[in-house]
Amino acid sequence: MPLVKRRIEPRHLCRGAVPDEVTSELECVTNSTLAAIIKQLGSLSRHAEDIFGELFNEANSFYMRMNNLQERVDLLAVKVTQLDSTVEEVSLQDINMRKAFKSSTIQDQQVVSRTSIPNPVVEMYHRGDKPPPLNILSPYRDDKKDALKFYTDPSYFFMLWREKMLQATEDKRKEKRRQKTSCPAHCDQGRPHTRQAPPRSPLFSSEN
Amino acid sequence: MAGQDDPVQREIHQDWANREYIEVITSSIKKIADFLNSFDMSCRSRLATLNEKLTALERRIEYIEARVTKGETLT
Repeated sequence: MPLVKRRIEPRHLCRGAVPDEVTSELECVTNSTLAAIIKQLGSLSRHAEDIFGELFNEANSFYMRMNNLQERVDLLAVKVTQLDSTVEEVSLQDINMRKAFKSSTIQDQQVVSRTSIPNPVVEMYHRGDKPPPLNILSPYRDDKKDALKFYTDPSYFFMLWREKMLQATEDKRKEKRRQKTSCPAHCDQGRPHTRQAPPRSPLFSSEN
Repeated sequence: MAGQDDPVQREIHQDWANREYIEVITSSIKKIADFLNSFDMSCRSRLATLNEKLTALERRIEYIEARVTKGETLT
């Protein structure tokens, strides 16, 4: 079910009850509707500020990256003018001894985590009901586990994925040991290399 | 018209005018909300394109830097 990220409050303008002592009801309803409209405008401006703030932060991070790139390009431009093919000595041994180039492959990690949660979603989370205080029963348990974890455990999926990964590495290690002990002489001839993809986090598993 | 002198009828006319005024304001609020949503989406898509170009540039600069600088030896 999609969540509504930003909700303008109050949703209904004219649904309040008219007080008993009022004689001109139509005017009363009009005035209360106009007051609700002003509250809606306030809520709208708060959401607009939040939207522009998020866009500004992202654009700012790009600005910093671009500045960094500009400095690197300037340094490179200076360095390239200083290159001289006549002075540079190249020995055949050195060419093979040089470290091979490897680009830095930085992967984004923990993209959907507590730190990257947007502000309206944090507010929605805090407006929600808290779970029942089952953790007060934890001291009375014999196995010393947290009683609330039996009701709701936010780290459940991560622990499940972690156990799967540990199990997978353990299985691979046992497989390698078995292969070494069974045929040490022919382990690299004619045996098809089966590449097993590591189990991905259950949050991203495809549904068949 | 004779009906205009009736205070109740006058009040009802005034109420209709007020409701039309409120309707104009609420539809403007909805238009502003729609504009904000579409502006947000369009900005995010442009920023994502910019991010892709920046990442490609960064990788190219890294490669050129490696080509130009004297690399360290393995020993």
